[in-house]
Amino acid sequence: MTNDIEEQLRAAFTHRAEHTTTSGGLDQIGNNGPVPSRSMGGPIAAMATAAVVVVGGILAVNAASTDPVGPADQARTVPQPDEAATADPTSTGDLFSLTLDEWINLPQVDAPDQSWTIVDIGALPSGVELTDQSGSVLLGPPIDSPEPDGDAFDAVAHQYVARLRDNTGTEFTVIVTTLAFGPCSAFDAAAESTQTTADETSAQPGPTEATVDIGGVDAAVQGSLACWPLEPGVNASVEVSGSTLPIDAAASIDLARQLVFTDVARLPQSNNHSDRQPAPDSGDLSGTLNGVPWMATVGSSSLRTMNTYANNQLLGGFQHDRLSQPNDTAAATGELMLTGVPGDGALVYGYLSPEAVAVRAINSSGATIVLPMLQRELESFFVVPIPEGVAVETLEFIRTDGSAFANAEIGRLPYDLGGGYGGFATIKRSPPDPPTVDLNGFCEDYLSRQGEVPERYVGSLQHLADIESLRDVAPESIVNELTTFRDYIASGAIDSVNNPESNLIDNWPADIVAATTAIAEFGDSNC
Amino acid sequence: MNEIVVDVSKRVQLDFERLYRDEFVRAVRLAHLLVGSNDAAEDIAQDAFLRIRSVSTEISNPSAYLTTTVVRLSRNWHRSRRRRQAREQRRATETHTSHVTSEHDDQHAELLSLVDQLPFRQRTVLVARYWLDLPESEIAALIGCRPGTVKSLASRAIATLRKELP
Repeated sequence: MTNDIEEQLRAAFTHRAEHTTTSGGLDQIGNNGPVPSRSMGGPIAAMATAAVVVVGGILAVNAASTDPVGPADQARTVPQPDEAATADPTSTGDLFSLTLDEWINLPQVDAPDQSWTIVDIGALPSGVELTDQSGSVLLGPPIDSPEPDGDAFDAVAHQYVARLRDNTGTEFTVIVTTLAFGPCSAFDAAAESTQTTADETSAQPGPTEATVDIGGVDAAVQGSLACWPLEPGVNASVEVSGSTLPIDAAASIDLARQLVFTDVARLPQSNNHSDRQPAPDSGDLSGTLNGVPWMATVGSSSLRTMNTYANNQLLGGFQHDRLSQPNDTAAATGELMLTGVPGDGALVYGYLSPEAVAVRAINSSGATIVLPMLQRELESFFVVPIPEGVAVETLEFIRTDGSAFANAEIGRLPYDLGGGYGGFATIKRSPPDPPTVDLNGFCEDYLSRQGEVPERYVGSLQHLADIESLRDVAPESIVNELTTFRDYIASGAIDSVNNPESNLIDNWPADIVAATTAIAEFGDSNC
Repeated sequence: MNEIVVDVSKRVQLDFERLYRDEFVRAVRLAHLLVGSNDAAEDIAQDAFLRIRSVSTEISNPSAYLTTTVVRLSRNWHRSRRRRQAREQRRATETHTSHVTSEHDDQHAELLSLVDQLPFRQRTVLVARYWLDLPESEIAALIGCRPGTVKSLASRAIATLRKELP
């Protein structure tokens, strides 16, 4: 029977689709796009893939475009969960201008042990000079599932890039990295594919040349790139910049054999910032971090966007769609990112459900500070500037009543890093989500009331009884709205017989419209 | 080699005219299946393309974006319609009814009429599964729920249809 219905559905859908008429055509596009809609409105949907890129070691969005901030993005008043969360985070620059002494008044925490492998610039081969170098650290929990392209990164990884030039003018790019998707990954993949068939092997990335010896270990060569393991988990590579020609491999191999590597506690910072996007004139949130000006801009009208800036240049950010979250549904939990401001600390930022109105940062000593969040219709954005040396270990996101909505463990941040760092942390709901409410009774009642009703039904005693019946089986989260609507009907404000205009929703008070809309949306979303 | 791509968006320069040419009819058909009104479906499709054009440089998968936009606009259409229900009751005919009437003679009218009366999410699941041929994971992403919910919505919808069909 089910199969019969499935076939009938396919046939019926196909039939209706084939009998759908369209008046639109290319002639309607012109220079102005399709003709405007006659009646539709509502939020803009988006499906662009989330794009986060580490540029020169700093997390940044993958596109220069920013989400236009429309009327819906005007900040709402932020309730005061306690004395530190003020009404409008956009006017609390002082609160966001934190230093170690002013903020928590605690002694600086020692830097965690950290050591990174880089090229020993003091031991460059004769005739080879350094033109630029930079390093960065990527923090975050292990990624359980591979990235869409099959890549993943370790919990803590670093990448160092040096640009060298020899006395013939040839430029080289040297990379040292612990990232799993670094330049050697293609060779790793090839090595793991030895069990595959010939056809599969031919489709794998891998060395096209024989391996060579560099420093006593086998190095793989592809194009002009030579790649070899320095130590377990750490790979180095050298290539002639911009060349994929195998004929250039000899120069890369020759340089690789002469390079000396060393461990340092501080990664170098690039001198070339010319490609960084400048900060806008003003931000939605702003302050200083150890005296360094920072700001954040947010956009939530289409793609959810947040950009952070420090020293008047783009620092990091995210931009993504709500693929798993309908555009008109508030964020459930949220995401957290952090980006280091070299030498000064870090900005920890992200978004959560609008249910969260403030963020409480908890130091390892237990000292806390509460910062307001910037509320939008579908999410609340936050920035926690953490001065270098402050060991903020936990962030708690709190509701209007001061209760904890969610939390995130961000762990010990490295500092005194010239190259900066970036990373991710998981935001968890706290307390745990309540047990799933049994909606069967509500949905059965709700769905049974769909469809046409006589006009006189609206506001009638039967209508009142039906709403009360629905309220009796409704989950807690929608009872208030049903009560509001029930009370409105009971007040006699709707008199369909003597005053037909009174049953038009357009003539109802705003709070009644809001209640009925919420009820309908709840029913549609859950039933 | 100086960029580590954590998650590269496969952005392409959107050829808007080509997208419109290739996808407009499909968008109208999808909207028609979701709202039951041919006229409203055209409006929804046009609106979806307008929205795509406004964010076109940010879209990585225009076809998928279009599908999601049409579904969301169709849902909004249902909500708007419900809010105007009292007003519409006074009308002699309404868009939805006129459409059903126009299909009255065809063999699928009864089934489509029942589908039109399903809650929007159930209806969307049926259209996504039996017309778009989307897998459960994509349907879940489309309507913003877990794959298991897709299964239960489909099951509930089919059960309703079985109960109502002679």
